[in-house]
Amino acid sequence: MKSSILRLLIIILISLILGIIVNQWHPRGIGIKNLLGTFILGSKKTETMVYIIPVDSVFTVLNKPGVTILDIRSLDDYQLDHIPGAIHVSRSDLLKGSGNAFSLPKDKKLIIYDQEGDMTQVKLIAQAFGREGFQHIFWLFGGYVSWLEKGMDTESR
Amino acid sequence: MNKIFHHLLLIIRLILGIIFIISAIYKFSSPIDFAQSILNYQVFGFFISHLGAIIIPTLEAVVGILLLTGFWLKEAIILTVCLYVVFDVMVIQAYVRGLDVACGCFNPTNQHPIDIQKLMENFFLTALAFGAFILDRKINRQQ
Repeated sequence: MKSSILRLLIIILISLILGIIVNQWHPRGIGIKNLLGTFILGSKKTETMVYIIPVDSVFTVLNKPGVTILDIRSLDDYQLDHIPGAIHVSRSDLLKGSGNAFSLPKDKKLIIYDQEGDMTQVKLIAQAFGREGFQHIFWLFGGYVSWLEKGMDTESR
Repeated sequence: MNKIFHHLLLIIRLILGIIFIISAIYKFSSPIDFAQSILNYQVFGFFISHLGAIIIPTLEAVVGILLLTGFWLKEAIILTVCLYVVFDVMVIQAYVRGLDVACGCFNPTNQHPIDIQKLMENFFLTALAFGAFILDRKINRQQ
């Protein structure tokens, strides 16, 4: 009985270690950084609730009134291509609490994305928007990479 | 009788082992999509869903290999039963709550919705896992 429990634990531990290793180098994997990000997001309350939404949900609200999409990648990446209708916002301005995003109406639904959907950013962004009184913040799951992988339209500027 | 049990157990091990390995390969292809599949069931939060997406594919692969090789068989069968029971509970609660989500059970990118057919498939595999558990106990007792 004791040896069975030990063996079960060994199998689970080996699976966890292998899983972490595989995900670390996998292009669509969940790296340690993202896993920790989800832990922070799940365990601590932020000023504003952030909803994590998949690509398909973003696609259905494209160009709808009351919805603004914010691209927080670098300006070069944004100019190369981005989600149609997205506005570029400097990530550093955002985290400092300054920039064009905060001049938007507070009741707007804001969909924010970065390159790979780095979950460690979500709490900081939620805090920044929460301080300014925004209520409806959405984070694109998997980021712009997911958008491209799903074969969605892009726009260049 | 013992020989029949042995052959029956071998067949079930092969079926479940191969299914686990193929399923793991599909899930390895996109862990992020698998995490999203788990999230869609609206049972676990972000952390558990992501942790599940990391550990389940490798657990399926390891258990699949153990089932095929027969090494640590008793433990592999226990884990098989546990995995299928968890999958069943997830699928049943989604079906009862009327969640419009893709199953993602076998392949996370497969958009097949949860319906009676999907439930039956899952129940069949769970029954096989329980069958393997009972056969393994009977064989061990007779020895």
